Amino acid sequence: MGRNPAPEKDISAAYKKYSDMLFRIALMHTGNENDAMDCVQDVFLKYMDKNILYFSQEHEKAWFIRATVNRCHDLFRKNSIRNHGELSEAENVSYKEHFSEESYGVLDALERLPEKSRTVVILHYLEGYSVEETAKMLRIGASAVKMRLKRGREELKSLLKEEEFND
Amino acid sequence: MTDKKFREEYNSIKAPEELYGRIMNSGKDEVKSSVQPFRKIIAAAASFAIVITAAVAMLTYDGAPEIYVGGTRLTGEVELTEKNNDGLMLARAGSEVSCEFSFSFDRETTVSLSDGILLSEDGTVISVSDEEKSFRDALLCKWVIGNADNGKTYEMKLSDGRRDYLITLSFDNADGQWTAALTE
Repeated sequence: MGRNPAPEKDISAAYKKYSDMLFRIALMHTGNENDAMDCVQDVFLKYMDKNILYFSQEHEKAWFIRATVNRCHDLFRKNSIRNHGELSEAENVSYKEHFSEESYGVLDALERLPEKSRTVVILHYLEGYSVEETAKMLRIGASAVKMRLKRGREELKSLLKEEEFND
Repeated sequence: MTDKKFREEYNSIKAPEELYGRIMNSGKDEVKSSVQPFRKIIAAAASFAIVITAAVAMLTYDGAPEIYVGGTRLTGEVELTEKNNDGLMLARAGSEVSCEFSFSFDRETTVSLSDGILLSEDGTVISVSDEEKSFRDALLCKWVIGNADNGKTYEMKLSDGRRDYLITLSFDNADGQWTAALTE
C-alpha cells in the first residue's frame, strides 16, 4: 500500500534541498555509502510519516539534520554490537572513494573521534554551521558544543600528529 | 582544522541517484519495517511493564505499620523472645518487663496499652495504659510493664482506621521466657 504524505510536504523539493547535505553527514558518520543511504532513506520516510509542522525552513532543516545524526548514531551502535567495534574492510571502501589519498589522514582521524565530538566537528567545520546553530540543531547548549569542539580539535591534532609520525 | 582540499572534496559529495528512487518507490516500506516495529514493540513492552508494576504495587501495598523489636521485624509469623532478641527483656529485679519498639506508620495510627507505660528514647512518658495516643511516621519507644504477671497476656493495640493490629507480650511457661507476637 502506498504512503500518503501530508499534502503540504513536497518530498521532491525537500529531497533536492537536503539530500546531498544529509548524505554527506551520514557518510561521515557511517563510513560507507550503503549505511549512509539507509540513514537518509529512513529520515525521509520519517519525514513523510510525521505530522510535524515546521515553523520555518531553518526549523525543517534542523529537524532533518538532527534526525540524520540520531539515525546514524543508532546504526553505529547496532554495527558496534554486530562487528564488535570494527567495521569490515569492505564497508570502509566506499567511504574513502569520495576523497583523494591526501585526505585519508583527516578521514581516519575523524573516524577515531568520539561520536559526539565527531558530529559537532562535521556540522561546524565541514557544514559551516555556527556554534549556536549547531547547538540548536542537536538540542544541546552552546557551551556543550564549544566543549566538544575543543576536545575534537585537540584529539584531531594529536591523531594527525600520530599519523605523520607513523608515515 | 581541516584543510581546504579536504573541505572541497567533502562538499563535492552528492547523494547517489538511486537514493531518490529508493525513497519514493514502494521498497521504502520494507526498509522502514526494520526500524519502526522494533521501537513499537519496545514502547509497548515498556508501557505494559509500567502498568503491571503499578498494578502489583497497588495490590500488594497494604500500608501496614512496620514494627521492629530490637532491630528485628515483628510479623505475624515470627515470635520474638528474650533469647532471640535483645530488645525484649525481663528486668529481673522487680519482675519488670520491657520491650523496645520501633514503629513506622504510613498513616495516623492510634496506640493503646492494656498495662504499663510507653517511654520515649530519652525516658519521658509518651503514653500510659487505657489511654489512646496517635502517632504518624516513626516512633521509637519502650513499653515497660512493672510487676509483670507471668500468667497474664499484655496487649498493645494499634489502629490506623482501616485495620487493627495487636501486639501481645506473654510469658511462655514451657520455654520460661517472655514472647512478643503480632496478630492482625
